[in-house]
Amino acid sequence: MALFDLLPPLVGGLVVTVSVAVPAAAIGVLLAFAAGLARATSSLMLRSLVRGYVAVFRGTSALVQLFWVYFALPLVGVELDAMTAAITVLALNTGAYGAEVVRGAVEAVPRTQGEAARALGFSPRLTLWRIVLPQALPATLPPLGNLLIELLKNTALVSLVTLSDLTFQARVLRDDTLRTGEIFSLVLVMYFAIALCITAGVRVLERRLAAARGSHGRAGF
Amino acid sequence: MPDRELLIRMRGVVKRFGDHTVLDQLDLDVPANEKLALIGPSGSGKSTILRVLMTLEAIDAGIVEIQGERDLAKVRSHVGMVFQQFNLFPHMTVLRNVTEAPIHVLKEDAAQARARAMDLLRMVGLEDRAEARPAQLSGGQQQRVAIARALAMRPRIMLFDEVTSALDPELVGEVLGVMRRLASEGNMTMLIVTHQMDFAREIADRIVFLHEGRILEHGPPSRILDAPEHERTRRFVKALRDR
Amino acid sequence: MDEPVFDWSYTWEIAPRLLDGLVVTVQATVLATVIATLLGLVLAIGRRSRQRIVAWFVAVVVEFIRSTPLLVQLYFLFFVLPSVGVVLSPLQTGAIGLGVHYAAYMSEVYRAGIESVPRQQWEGAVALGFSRRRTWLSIVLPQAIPPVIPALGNYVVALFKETPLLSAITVVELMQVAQIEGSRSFRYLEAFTLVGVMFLALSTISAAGVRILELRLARS
Repeated sequence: MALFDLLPPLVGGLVVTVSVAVPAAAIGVLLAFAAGLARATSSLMLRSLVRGYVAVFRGTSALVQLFWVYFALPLVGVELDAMTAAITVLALNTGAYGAEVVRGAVEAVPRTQGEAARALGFSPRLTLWRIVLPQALPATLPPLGNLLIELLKNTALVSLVTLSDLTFQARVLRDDTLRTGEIFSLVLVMYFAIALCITAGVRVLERRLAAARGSHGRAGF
Repeated sequence: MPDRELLIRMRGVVKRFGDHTVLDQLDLDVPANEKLALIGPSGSGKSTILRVLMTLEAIDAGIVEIQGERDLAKVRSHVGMVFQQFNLFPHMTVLRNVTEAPIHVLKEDAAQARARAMDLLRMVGLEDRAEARPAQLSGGQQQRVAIARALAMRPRIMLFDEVTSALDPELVGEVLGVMRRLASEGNMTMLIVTHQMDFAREIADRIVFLHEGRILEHGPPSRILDAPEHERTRRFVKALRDR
Repeated sequence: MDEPVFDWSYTWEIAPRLLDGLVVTVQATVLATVIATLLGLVLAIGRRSRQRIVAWFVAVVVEFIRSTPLLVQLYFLFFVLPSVGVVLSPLQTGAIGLGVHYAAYMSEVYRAGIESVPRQQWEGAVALGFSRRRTWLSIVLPQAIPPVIPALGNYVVALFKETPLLSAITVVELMQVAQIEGSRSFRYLEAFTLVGVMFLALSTISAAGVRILELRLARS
């Protein structure tokens, strides 16, 4: 197999891809919960702010956002290096879509749960952390898993702002070797493999969560 | 009225939902330790009274005091409530449903809270289901857990909002049994919204008949149920009895 | 004199050229939408094939397309197609890549629609002696497709938003024009902001349109 000589440079690219994806995913998921929960608060200003954020980042593609942050933002004095720009944009993008997921899951928890908590003297914060979020969490997992796969796909965009990720290395390799079909097939398979890992990881998490709340716990909804 | 501490005082209370007036200039006094049954047709405002006392609804006009305090949030820990639909926390075991508030709201010692929760579960006859999930219990069992959960906060006042309405007929008795025992212990003020007239007669010191957001009449069970003054009360009681 | 941070006169100067780019963007969107809606339906029907191997293969292909970056798929088509003798314009190549990518998403939408058609409808068709083809065309699809049109519409909006990726394979659409203008004047702010605003406005409007369609369908 001649494919093996292609692997070392691609693995180097893979490392960059992962080092963009992992922090972006972590920040993005945190943002998703922060923004999603902010939309359930009573503060009108906070709600409008989040609504605007979600509308802007869902209304344009990650590429447009990335180019704007990387090429246009420096002209108003905000200069981010490619790595920071990439992680920022991908995290904000994931957070915007994730916020809707979290909001939906929180809204799906019956209002009477909040009333019961209130009758027991729970503060709003305690109600959120101990009653609402634990019940909302399982429903967020599958869609958040899908968003992580979208995030993984979007990491390919960073090759367009000079980061030497997997996609970038594939292009360099193609220009050097012209073994186009092999290279891009291999790269696609590599992305697919990571996506399968994400799916499997989310499944494990789901099963753990279900086990932690007892095998019959889910029927309680 | 005997010379007892006035625990709940409501004066001119108005509550509207949109253009529908649910409580219409309502006055109600409840002395300490009274067992009060609230009856009346649906929409007469009986559940709303409980929800106002529990701070689940804000009033549009009037005064509500509990232990002389108008900021009900301050005295909320003295009030416990049991709901028609149980509203247990589905993601927690029965035991944790009961210990959660004492530990995190009252900041009780966890071991102590668990011991007390087990006592309460024993009282409602469910100590052997402590590690079960709410979804594994029957409706009657869930409701008994809900009562234990409310009692764990050591309330002075317990509000029961149609607690047997969602239960299959054969499960009603076990819940009423727990309430009966609670009433017999004496030092608990109970407000009970119910359609079970026999139970109201047996347990209540006083029955309040509500109609369109006002108290039409009130008095000892024998008078309200057997010799009501108002035609509406008579018809309501008769309809429930004939059902 | 100090240059303003955001130069409006320059913005007006490049606006007509950006609109030319927008025309290409719209062309790509339309072409890709046609491919996605048709191929998506074919894939959805393929997943219902009685041949297990066909159904399985289609499922894997759909999953593969959905889980890998559109950019790499575009490179693949852009570089590999010519090497096997298929010579297409960048716009055609881009529209095919975009169309195939979203066909995978749309096939899942169609699938949900098809699965919501009650089994009895199939059985009824069998009882009437309909052929499988006839059953699909006159019984299943007419019931399966209308309810999922809004969901398909949402993917058309998503597809439109992703057209800037075609700039990576030299299609001179909106984003590419903005890049060209930006590199010519070193003023990226105006061009990219304008592109962002155009996409935001158009996608917000079309998303609202889909929402209206959804409400109408829900009412009827």
